[in-house]
Amino acid sequence: MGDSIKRPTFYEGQILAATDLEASVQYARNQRARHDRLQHSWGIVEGLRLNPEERQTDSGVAYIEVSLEPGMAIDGSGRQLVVTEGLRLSRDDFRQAGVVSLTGDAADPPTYPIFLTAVDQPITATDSLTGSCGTSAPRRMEEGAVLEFGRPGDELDLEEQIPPAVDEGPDDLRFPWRILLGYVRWDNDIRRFTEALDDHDGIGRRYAGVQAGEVTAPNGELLLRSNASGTSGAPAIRLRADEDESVMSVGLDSGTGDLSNLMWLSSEGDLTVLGRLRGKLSSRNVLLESGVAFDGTVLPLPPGVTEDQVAGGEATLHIQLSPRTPPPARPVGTFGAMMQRLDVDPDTRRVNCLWRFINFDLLDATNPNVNVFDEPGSCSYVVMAQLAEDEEEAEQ
Amino acid sequence: MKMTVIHTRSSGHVLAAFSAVADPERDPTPLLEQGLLVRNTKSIKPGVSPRGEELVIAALELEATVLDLVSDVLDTPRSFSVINGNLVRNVSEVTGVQFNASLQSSTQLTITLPTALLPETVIWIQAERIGNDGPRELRNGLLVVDALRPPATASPDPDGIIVNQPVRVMLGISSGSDDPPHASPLTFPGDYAIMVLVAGRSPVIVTREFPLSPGPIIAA
Repeated sequence: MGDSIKRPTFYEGQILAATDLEASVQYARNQRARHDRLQHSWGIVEGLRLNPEERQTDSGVAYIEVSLEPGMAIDGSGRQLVVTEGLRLSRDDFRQAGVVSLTGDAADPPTYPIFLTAVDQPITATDSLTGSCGTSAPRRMEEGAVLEFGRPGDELDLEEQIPPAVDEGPDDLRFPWRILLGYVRWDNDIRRFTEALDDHDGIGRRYAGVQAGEVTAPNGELLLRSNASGTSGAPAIRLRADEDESVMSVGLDSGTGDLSNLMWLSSEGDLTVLGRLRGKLSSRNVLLESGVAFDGTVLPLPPGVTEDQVAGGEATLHIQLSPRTPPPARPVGTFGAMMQRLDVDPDTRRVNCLWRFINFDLLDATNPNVNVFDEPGSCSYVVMAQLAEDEEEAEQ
Repeated sequence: MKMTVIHTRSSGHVLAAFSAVADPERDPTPLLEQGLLVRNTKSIKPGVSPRGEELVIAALELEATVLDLVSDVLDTPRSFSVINGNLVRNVSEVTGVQFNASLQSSTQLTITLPTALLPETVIWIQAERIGNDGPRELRNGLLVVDALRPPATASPDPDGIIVNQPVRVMLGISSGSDDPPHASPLTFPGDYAIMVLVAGRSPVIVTREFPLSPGPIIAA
């Protein structure tokens, strides 16, 4: 076992040393950090976007100024990084960071990651108070956050940062944790930023999360939103205990925070979907297709039924054919028509539809010129597919 | 309402059609994988074996297009073509088509279209051996009438040069799949169902017996 957690305690008349007070502060600080680190996951909590503002040089070349909006993040040690006011990215700091690539493809210029890292800054005492032996030291520590410019590709190592051991508090900042805020592009000729990006090649801003085996709502309703409430069109999922009609629903934010349902499940287990259900269906569903087909064509399957389901015996087909009006006979004369053949090949679903025409003008069994012929035609069809039970359902 | 027409890829001739109420604009590709069976008129006369052509057009040669439903197309699809995505009614078939294949001198089936055709007219032909147990002989070919084919002696045409000479299409017919194409004359005599599709004209589907003694036979 590592070092156990020690809680400071006090007794009446105790002379408090600085270490006792420091231990009290550290105990609370470490406890909070363990919670943020272990019950949550690190990332941006609020704000901290890189906002570009379009500008032009005196010679008319477009560039941008980039500013960081206020916000908060939690790093992998559980430390809070708070940016209290907007901050403009300094072109001088960027150039002096030594990250600028002097080579590269003009059509695909390099992207430089922008990180936020924590920094502690002692605040020098502004009064003349000293210790008992005349000692003096800062009495406040500023928990700051600073911007760091990275080289292209530095963002690839973010997930390999190592958090402190479980019993430890926030990192001691020997290796400050990097939180990716976005990227910038830089024009070496005008020495200015030209673009700000949230992500690049699939790596972008990471937001703080929750690690929990169970989430319980105190008021009978649990809501998961993909964006802040009131973001029109943002999808959300709601669990509601006191509604028979929709104990679970999926919908879109109507713009006021209310959910416009797309799909909901009742307490009876009925699922209602406003759109179409796609995919492999089962459980004795009967699906239909119908229409008209000409001789020789292969009948289409009902939507949702696949050739593999038919070949594998998961779907049984029932096919009904009906004759349509015969096609016009081509030779001139008085003709009668009868259905000669109307069936479907059970293996290929190919339609056989043939009409027999008889020329009544030459209707004489001894007449070698009696004009009888078969012509292909079209028929009406209905294809019904009955889907087999799943094995699990059959066992029930 | 929509319908799906199945037509030849090169000449645009509609050979079959169907509609589907539940999913009218489905991808029809899986329905073409087995090819398309094309049956022609079968004549039945006393004392004569019934005769009618049956060809299977390979999936590679076919295309399917979803169009607004036209009832006539579902009943008589072979009266129509799809040209540049539009449905057009075919004009009458080319008459006087000649078919020639000689045992002694030819390894090829020669088909002659005597009718004047406009330049760039597409002609697609399939010949398929039918009616016995021998190896299946299947050949098809494509020809585009050459705009530069001289001479242009017919009356002036606003669309350009009229080809007023016979157009000949030659299809190699070999003795079997093991032989190189066009290697030998017709060693498996028999009946061949032949379909000639001239773009914009109604299909010509006939049965001819090969090999023949030299000399053309003129289609009815």
